[in-house]
Amino acid sequence: MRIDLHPTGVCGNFKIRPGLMLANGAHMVPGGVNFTIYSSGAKSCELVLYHSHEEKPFATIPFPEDYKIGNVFSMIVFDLDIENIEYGFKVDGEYNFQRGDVFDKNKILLDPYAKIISGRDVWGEEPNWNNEFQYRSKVALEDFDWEGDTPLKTPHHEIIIYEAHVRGFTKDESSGVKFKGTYAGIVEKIPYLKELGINAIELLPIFEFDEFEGARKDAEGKPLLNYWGYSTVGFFAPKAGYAASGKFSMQNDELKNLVKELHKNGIRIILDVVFNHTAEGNEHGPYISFKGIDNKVYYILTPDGYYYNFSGCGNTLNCNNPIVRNFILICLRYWVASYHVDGFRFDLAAILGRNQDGSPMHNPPLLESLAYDPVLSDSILIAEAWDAGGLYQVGSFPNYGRWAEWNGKYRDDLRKFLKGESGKAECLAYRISGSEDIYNRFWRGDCASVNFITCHDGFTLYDLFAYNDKHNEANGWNNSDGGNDNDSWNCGWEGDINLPADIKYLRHKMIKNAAAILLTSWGIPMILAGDEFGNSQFGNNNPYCQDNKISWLDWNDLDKNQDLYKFFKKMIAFRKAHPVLMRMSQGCPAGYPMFSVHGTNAWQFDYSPENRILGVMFAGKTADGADDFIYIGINSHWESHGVWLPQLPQNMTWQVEINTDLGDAAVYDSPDEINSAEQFIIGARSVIVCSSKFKR
Amino acid sequence: MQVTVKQNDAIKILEFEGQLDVASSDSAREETLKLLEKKPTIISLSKCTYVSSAGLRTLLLIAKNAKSKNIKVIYAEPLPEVMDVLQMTGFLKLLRCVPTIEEAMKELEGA
Repeated sequence: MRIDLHPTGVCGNFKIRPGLMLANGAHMVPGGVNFTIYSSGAKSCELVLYHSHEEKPFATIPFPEDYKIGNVFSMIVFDLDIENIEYGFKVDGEYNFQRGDVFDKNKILLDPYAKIISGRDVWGEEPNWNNEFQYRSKVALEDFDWEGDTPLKTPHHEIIIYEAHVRGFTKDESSGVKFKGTYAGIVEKIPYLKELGINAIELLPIFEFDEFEGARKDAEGKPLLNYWGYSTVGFFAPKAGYAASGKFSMQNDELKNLVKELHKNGIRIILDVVFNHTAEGNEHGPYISFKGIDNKVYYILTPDGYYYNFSGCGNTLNCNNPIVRNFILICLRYWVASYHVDGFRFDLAAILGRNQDGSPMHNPPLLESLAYDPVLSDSILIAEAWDAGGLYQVGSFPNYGRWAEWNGKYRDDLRKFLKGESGKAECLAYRISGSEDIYNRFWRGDCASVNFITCHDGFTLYDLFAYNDKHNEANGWNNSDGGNDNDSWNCGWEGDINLPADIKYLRHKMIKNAAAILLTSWGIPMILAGDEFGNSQFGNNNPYCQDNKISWLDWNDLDKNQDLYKFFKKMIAFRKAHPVLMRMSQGCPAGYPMFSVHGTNAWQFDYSPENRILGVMFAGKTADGADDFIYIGINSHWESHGVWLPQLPQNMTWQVEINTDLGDAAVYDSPDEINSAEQFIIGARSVIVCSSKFKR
Repeated sequence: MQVTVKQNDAIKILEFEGQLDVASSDSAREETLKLLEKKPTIISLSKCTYVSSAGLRTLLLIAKNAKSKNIKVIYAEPLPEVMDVLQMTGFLKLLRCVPTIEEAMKELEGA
């Protein structure tokens, strides 16, 4: 036994000793648990211990004066039943609002480093609001049998992201899984994901949050919850309510098992992380953790002590304070090292580049640290490069050649082009080419652009072509919430009631057009879960509070819309089969550029604003090193047009594999050779995808 | 948590009774490892009312320890809630656990 792991003091019934100052939070040590907490302004600190779910603590142990070095309190408490205790801290210090100190020794505070949080163990179970300790830290067992698993190491070029909400993905009865709406439920759907062909799943926030934060009732008395969860309570703990085993505090094991099973099937896991603000809100919000531990360190405050609100959610995390950026770095390292997570998408990431006074920084230390961190070096880092304070950095996010971005321009330009707006064909060519106009390949690499047409925020792909206007009445804000700039088009009929067959046909074609372009664009494609089978949110473009059929995927649509599913599956397989589409081609056929644009005549793109026709040719090599050409013919005009495909080398010929004008037959059973002596007629609002083949 | 020997023929049957949690895990593991012999063994969980995180690890450690000694161990007849927990957390893939003693017997006899 180590000589520094035996008790040296006693406090009531507890044997204690000075702890491990360099640790953070609670850690098991032989015979006991080490508790460490930092606060720059605390005069004293107490550890408060509860039996699981009990309202009153069974012990309060002050950190003795000599258990503090600098601003760090640390103590080992021996002989604790780690599975049955919950702990918090009481921190005493000055109250001077204007200076940003709001210490209150009567508040029981959650450990910011808590690895398990109880209090919201089962989703939607109304908590006891009279309980003084709502979000309760627990000690985690850190051992897990990974069986040799590590985060995946294949090139980022290959990634095809599928954005999903843990609960919404399988909560509906139609999902057919046993553990609905949970991490375990996703495991049951892995065969489906594998068949679809995606190789990365991006989960909406899974850090512990409170679904009851800001909860309301709708006109019929049904609850409106914080369903999306963009409001973090604890950054180191997985959401217990997303675990089928959350009531047993086994969410860590359940999530780790999900990661391991995904990896076994070649699927990465990317977490949507919210470091721009916390669930503590502004001066009227609750004390959960940071506020009572070190308010002015963790939050960006105005000169008179109020909270800056660049997040639109009440407060702004002080990301470039050295203490806070270290906290964020440790947190992300933890998720990679302990959970084998493969990457992160940073919500409102522009805030991560703001200074302690709120101004944007040229060279933000946090973003630089993350870019060069050794533990994160295989992780994909994706910025949502804007914030609610007006900082819009798409194309200019401080990136160190390392960061990727959600490409909002891709979404906007594609939507406008697809619905037939004029003047967008040239833009579309840029978007397909990895948006080289905003992402200089020399500086940003091949994977800077995360291309998407839809995400959780906004219409689903089906709704994009089924609604001209948002229909958010169910959210309870008189349809005033959610974006108005949707660039959607209902194809001539608002919604689904009494939908004429020809409108339905057109909508399916529009969805296929979108999918064909998305999956042949350079950059990393992202698909919103359910778009591959026409999932609808009934026109709601902001269902953040809808824990019901509006948000839950309706898997019955998979049977109804097999043509869409088959199409997505084909396009994903097509992308994977052609290295040039992933910018992984080793070389280029002699005499051809790797990327070229064409009009109705080959090599002659029409730059006039009225033009709605774009041909794109990729020229590369197959995995075996043979010449490989791809041609995408896109017509967003409401009339059909004939196009001449570019001439191939003499020993090759074009074959068409996809034609969205053919309804259920859009995917050819076997590719159809094209007669190069004739124009190919691309139907109205249609896309064709052609590949090259060697002549016999 | 009690560990008892229910049968000691060609196949040995042990029984866990009570809650397998952090408080009982160490003793249950030591006890079980002491009782393991060089013969296939079934551990009945029919009276094991609760398995905690530490308990899951104990089940796995026993199985791994047995494997290292070339002893085949199968857990059997877990209560539905315990079976669910094994499934949710993925432990079911790490250790062998079947619904009935008969199934376990059949599997061990065939081995």
